Amino acid sequence: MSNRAPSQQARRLRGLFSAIVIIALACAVRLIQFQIVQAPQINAESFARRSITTTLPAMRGNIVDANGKILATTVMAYDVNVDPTMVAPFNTKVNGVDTTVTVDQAAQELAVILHMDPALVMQKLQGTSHYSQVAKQVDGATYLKIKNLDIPWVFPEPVPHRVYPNGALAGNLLGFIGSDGQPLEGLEVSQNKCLAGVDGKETYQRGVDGIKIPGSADVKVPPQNGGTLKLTIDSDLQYFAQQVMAKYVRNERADWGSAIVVEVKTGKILAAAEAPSVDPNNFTAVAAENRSSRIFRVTFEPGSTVKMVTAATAIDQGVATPLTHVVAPQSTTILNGFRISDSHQHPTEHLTLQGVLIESSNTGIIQIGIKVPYATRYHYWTNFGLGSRTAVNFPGEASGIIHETAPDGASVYTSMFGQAMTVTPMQSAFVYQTFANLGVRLSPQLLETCTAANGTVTPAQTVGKPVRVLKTSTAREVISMLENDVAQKGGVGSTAAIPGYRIGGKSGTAQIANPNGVGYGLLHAISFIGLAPAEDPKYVLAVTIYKPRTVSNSIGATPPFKAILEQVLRTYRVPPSTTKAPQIAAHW
Amino acid sequence: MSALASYKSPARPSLSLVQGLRSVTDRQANPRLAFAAMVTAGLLGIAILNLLLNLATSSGVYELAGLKNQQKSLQLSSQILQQQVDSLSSNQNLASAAQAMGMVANANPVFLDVNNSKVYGEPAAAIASATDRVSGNLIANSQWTTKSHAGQIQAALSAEQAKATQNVASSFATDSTASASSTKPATATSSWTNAAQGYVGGAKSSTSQVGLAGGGIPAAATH
Repeated sequence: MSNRAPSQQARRLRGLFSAIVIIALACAVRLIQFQIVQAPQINAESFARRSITTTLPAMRGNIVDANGKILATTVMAYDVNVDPTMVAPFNTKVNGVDTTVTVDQAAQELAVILHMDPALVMQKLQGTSHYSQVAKQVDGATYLKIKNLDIPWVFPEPVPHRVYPNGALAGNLLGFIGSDGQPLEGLEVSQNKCLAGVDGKETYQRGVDGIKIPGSADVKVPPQNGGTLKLTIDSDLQYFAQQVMAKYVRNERADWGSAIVVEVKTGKILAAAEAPSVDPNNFTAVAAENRSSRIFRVTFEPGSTVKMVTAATAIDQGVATPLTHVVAPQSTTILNGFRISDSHQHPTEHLTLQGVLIESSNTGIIQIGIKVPYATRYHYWTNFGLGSRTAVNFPGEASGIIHETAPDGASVYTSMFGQAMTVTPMQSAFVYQTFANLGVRLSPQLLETCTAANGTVTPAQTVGKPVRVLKTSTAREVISMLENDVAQKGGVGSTAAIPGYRIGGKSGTAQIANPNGVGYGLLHAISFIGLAPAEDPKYVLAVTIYKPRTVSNSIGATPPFKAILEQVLRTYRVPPSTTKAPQIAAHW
Repeated sequence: MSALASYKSPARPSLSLVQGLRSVTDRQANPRLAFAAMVTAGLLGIAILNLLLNLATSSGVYELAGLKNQQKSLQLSSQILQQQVDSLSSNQNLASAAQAMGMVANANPVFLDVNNSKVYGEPAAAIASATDRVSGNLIANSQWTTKSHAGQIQAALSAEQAKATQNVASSFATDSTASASSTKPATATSSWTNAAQGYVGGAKSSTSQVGLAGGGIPAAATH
């Protein structure tokens, strides 16, 4: 016994030992399998379950006016999403009391907050998918109200949302953003490089409760917000001009109207107002043709405002002076029986060039214009910036058409009073900027700077070299003629006069070619372009009203011109003039 | 020499102590136990410290998450307030409020040159005829959701005037705006600065207040 016992014990021990070894081996094999063979796969799976990657959305940059007032900004809005498979009654505390809220009640609450039809909300709550969108991009206040309902199956998702706090103020210039965040129009498109940001992302590991696991790796790519785009626009002046244009376009039952205010010595565009205007917050509310900037895109035959170009060219070429005599009949025949008439009835008059401009006589201006070869006049047009896009390079900007060689005999003459050529409202404003700036044309400037998120400031727009178009002496004579056009009684210009100030300007009543290209329609494009103060021009204002139906000539363009110019003089504290306009005789 | 040898001979056993370390004896067990206890205690201490540290980190993470949530809700409050301010300071709102109060832009400016005491222009009353006056707002703005109420502004202005007459010396222009801020939280005091702080403070404690406030910001203060 004493011998067997130990051997039995030893056997048992051996057996136990073998069992332990086998189990240990099995464990080791399994361990090797998990820790070495399958390790990468298991780790990845586990990481995928714990880790979460969130997009850190970059905020699109602001667009601000010349004084830093925000015209476009980005805020967080919230898409209200629901998981229909989870939709069920739920318990919540209402005023501290546990209450069960039915699906109907919840839908009703959502409908009230979202201003939706409860039936429609109900419809969106049903289904077998895990995702249903009840509302898109609701604002922060609405989001808070929904969040406070504590509905467990509603998942609001934050999304960057573009807002324009001043609505349609400069809306046609700003453009807008589609619901997918892509820029669709205006400066939002052309300045996307400055404004767009780069989204970042964050990856971290979280526990069951959704809280980050301490010490877990956190990979973060910070978002890069977009830059701030500064415009030359003065938003207060812009608002005033838009108000005035909206009023007159409505009252005159016109297709559209525009007003451009230019700072003469810098070429900066202080206001570029249009009516109808677009509220970029809600751009689908207006017709597609009203959503862009006509100031840069629309071309039309400018009419009599070009008579000043014809006169300036003749004076600059030394073939006329403001006192050059002409005999202007009501109507005259040029080659092949083509008749040119004046818009108003009058007996044959003895006019000076000044008188021709005050009366806006077609028969008079062609006698001055014909003294300069067509090719020379074309050269002046190009110097005035006609026929080419401006340095603003607005999306879809038009260049207008001027013909290097006259398409027909008549257009040699009609181009002297602004037919047989087309311009944009912006181009016509800068013809007068050239007069006001003593013969030097500057590039229109709409964009000041782009300030990147890191503070780097770059010019947002290239500005072309100044172009000397007229001799200083010619420009001074042109300014005096413009001033007499307003100061002397008789013409349309006198209705633009502002008491106390010396201002100059010229009217235009242009015929509009029929869409089929044959002949002209009954409606006109009326305009008045002027400068102030004439003794030292600082501002140019160009007003155009297209197809007014209650007035047929430029008398409809002077009231808005006057109202806006008065506001310009007030805004920039221009003191009233202390000198009088030099008198230039209109008749002989 | 013998003295030296006799001196050295008793020293020999003490050298055997080194050997003694290699062979376990009862006499040497006690210091080893002490050492083991020390190591165990040390390890335990480290473990407890680690645990505490982990606890601290974990609670820190929760605190961080809480603060991040708070930051989010504050950012939201600030965004909502900013949109209200933007709406109130939009050209549409200012022009409409001015018009509702009967204000007319004077098309006939007069300038006073302080240097030579000269007046430019001829002073005349503002034209209030319907034709010369720009009509009500014609410029669409779907973001114009918070509007000034002419009545509120008038009340604020008359309160301001009354206050100014009452105490010209210490008249504090911002003071009277309190009368316009009828919906500000009860915690706010009478001055605008405090009203503003109280308002945001209210938003902090209960974000729903901001959402419900619509038009609650004293309108007159934006003028």
